[in-house]
Amino acid sequence: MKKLVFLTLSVLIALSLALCAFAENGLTGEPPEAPPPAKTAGTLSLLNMTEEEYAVFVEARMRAGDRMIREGYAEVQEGALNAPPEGEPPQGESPEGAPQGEPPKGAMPKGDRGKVVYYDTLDALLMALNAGNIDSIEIFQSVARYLCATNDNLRMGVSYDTDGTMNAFARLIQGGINGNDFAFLMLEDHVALRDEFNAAIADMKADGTLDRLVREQIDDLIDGGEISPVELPRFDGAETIRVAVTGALPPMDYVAADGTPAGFNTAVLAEIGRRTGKNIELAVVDSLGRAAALASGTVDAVFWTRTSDTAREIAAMTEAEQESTAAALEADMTEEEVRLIRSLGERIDFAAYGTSDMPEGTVTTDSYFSDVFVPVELAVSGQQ
Amino acid sequence: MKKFISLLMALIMVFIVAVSAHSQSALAERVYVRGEIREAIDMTEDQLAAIMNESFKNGRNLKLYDMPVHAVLVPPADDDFRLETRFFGSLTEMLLALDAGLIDGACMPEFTAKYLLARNDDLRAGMFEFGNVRESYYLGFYNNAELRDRVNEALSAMKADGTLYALREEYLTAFAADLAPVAFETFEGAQTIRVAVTGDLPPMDYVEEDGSPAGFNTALLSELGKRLEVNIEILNVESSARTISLTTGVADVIFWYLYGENYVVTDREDGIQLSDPYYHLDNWFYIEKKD
Repeated sequence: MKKLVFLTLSVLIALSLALCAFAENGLTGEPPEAPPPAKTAGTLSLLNMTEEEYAVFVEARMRAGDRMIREGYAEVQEGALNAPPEGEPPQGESPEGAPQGEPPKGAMPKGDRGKVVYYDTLDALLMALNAGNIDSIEIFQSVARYLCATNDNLRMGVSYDTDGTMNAFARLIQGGINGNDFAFLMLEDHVALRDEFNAAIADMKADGTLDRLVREQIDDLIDGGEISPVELPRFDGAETIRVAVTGALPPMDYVAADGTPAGFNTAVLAEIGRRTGKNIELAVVDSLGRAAALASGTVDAVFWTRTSDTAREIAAMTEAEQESTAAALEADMTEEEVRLIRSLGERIDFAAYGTSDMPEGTVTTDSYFSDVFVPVELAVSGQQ
Repeated sequence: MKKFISLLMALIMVFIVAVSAHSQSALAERVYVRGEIREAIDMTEDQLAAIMNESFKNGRNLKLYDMPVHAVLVPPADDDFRLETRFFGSLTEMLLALDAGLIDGACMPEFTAKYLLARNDDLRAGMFEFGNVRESYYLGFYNNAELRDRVNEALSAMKADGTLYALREEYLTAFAADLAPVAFETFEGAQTIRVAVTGDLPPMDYVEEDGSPAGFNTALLSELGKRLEVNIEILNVESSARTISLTTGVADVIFWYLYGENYVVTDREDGIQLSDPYYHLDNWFYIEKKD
C-alpha cells in the first residue's frame, strides 16, 4: 500500500511538473531560451569579401538591421534565419512624439557572427544550400530576387528598399557596408577606353536609359518575364572590345545555355558599344579566372562588382573635407548610430573598400548599377 | 482502497486546477497607465492607446498617419496588460500625476529621463522594454519659409564645422550637474526673433527656476542668432500652448519633435514650416515611482 501511494505521488508530481513546463512553453507557444547556433553562410568567391569583412558585415546587419526594418528600409520574412533579433519595436508617429523605452535585454545574441564559406560558382553555392551544408546564401538582392522567382524552394531572408530617400545612417549602411557598386575593370593602359565608357555611362544615367535597362532586364524578368537576347552592335572596321562574362550573377552577369548574349550587364555593354561606336564581343570566363584573363589580354574589360562610389568620394576628399563630412553625418545621426558607425569604421577602411581587391595595374569605370547583399534561405514548405 | 482512490482523484483535480490556473493567470489583465506631454492635436488618448494595444496584441504593422508603424510592445514576460494613455500639458503636471499614482509611467526622451533620475531618488527607469525609435527634432516656423531657409543654411554650416555635434555632446550627452545660462549676442537694429521655450524637456528644452532659459535649445538658438545676426527673445510657454503660440504670432519659432524623418512634411498645409532636423534621438524611457 505504501509503495502504491509513493509511486502514485511521484507520478503525480512528475506529471504536474511536466504539465507546468508544458504550460510555460507549449500552451503559450514560446520556445525555451537558448542562444541560436552559429549560422554558416555561403557566398561567391568572386565577390572578394574577406572573412573579416564578412564578420563586420554580419555585425553591422545585426546591429543596424532592426533599425533599418523599423524605419522601413528593410523587410524581414517571418521566421527568417538571418532576421535581426525580435522584440524591439517602436511606435507610432504623432506630431509630438510618442512613447518608447530601452531595448529588451538580451536582444542581441552575442558572438554569433557565423561562418562564411566561399564557392566558385552559383551552382555549387545552390547545391550546398540544398544539401544543408550552409544555412544561407549571401548574394546581391537582384540575384536573390531572380533566384527566388525561379526556384520555389528558396526565399529571401531580408529584403531592402533601395529606392526611397534614406537618412544619413541608412545611407552609410546601405551604401558603405551593405552594398556594392558595379563597374567595368580594365588595365591601366586602357584608361582612354575607360574614359569613353564613363562618358557613355554618364549619358545613360542622365537620359534614363540605365533606368529603362534595369526595368527591362532585371525587374520585368523577376516579375515573370523571359530572358530576352541582347543585340550586340556591329560597326564595320571599328575596334572590338572583348568583355568577360561568368554567368555567376543572373540576371546581371548571365550566360544563356545556347550562348546568346543576354542579361543586364550585356544590355548595358551593348548600349555603351552603340554610343562609343565599338564592337562588343563576349567571352565566357571562369569567375576565378577573370583577373588573369584581363592581365593576359584575353579580354579588355571585366565586370567588377566591388566598387564603391561612397568610398571613391571619401578617398577623393582632403582630410579637412573628410572630417567635415563625418561631422555633418554625425550631426544627422543619433548617439547610438554614431557609436555603431564609429565602431564599424574602426574595423573596415571605408575609403579603401572599393579598391582594396583590385588587381595591380587596373582601373575601374564609374558605376552603372548598385545593389545590396541579402540572405537567401531554403523556404520551409508552406512558406515562400 | 476506495478512500485512497478518492484521495488520488482529489489530488489529480488539485493539480489540474493548479496547472490551468497557472496558465490562466497569464491572461489576467493589468492596466498600465502611461503619461505623455503633448498637445492633443490629431489623436485622443483613447485612440492612441487603442492603436498601441491593438498592435501589441497582434504584433502587426499598422499604418498611422499613412506611415508604417511597427508597434509591438514587449511586456514583462509573466504578465499581460492593457495600456491607457493620459496627456499632460507640462512635465510638472505629469510628474505630479506620477507621484499621486494617477499614472504608472511617465514617457520622456532619454536625456530628460536621465536628467530626472539623477536628481530624484524616488524615481526609477521603467520596467517596460520598448524598442528604441528614431525621433527627430525640428524648429517650427509659421508662414515664414524665408526665415526657415536661412536657419537651414546656418544649421548645415553648424553641422559641417562640428559646432552642432559639440553642443549636443556638451548639453545632452554629457550634461553637467548645473546647466549654465546661455548668453545671447545682440545686434543693433536687427530683427528680433521670438522663440517659445517650455522647460518640459530638460536638459534640451529647459528653464531655470528663476525663469531664465538654459540648456541645449538655448545654446542652439544663441549660435543661430550669431550666425544669422538676429536678436533672440525667449518666451516661456506651456507645452500645450506651443503650436497656438506659433500660429497666433506670439512666437516666431517653436521646437517640435517627430518620428519618421523620411515621412515628415517640412512645408505643411497648415502653414507650419519645419527646419532640417537638428537632433535625432534613439530612446524614450518610462519613468516610474519607486515602490
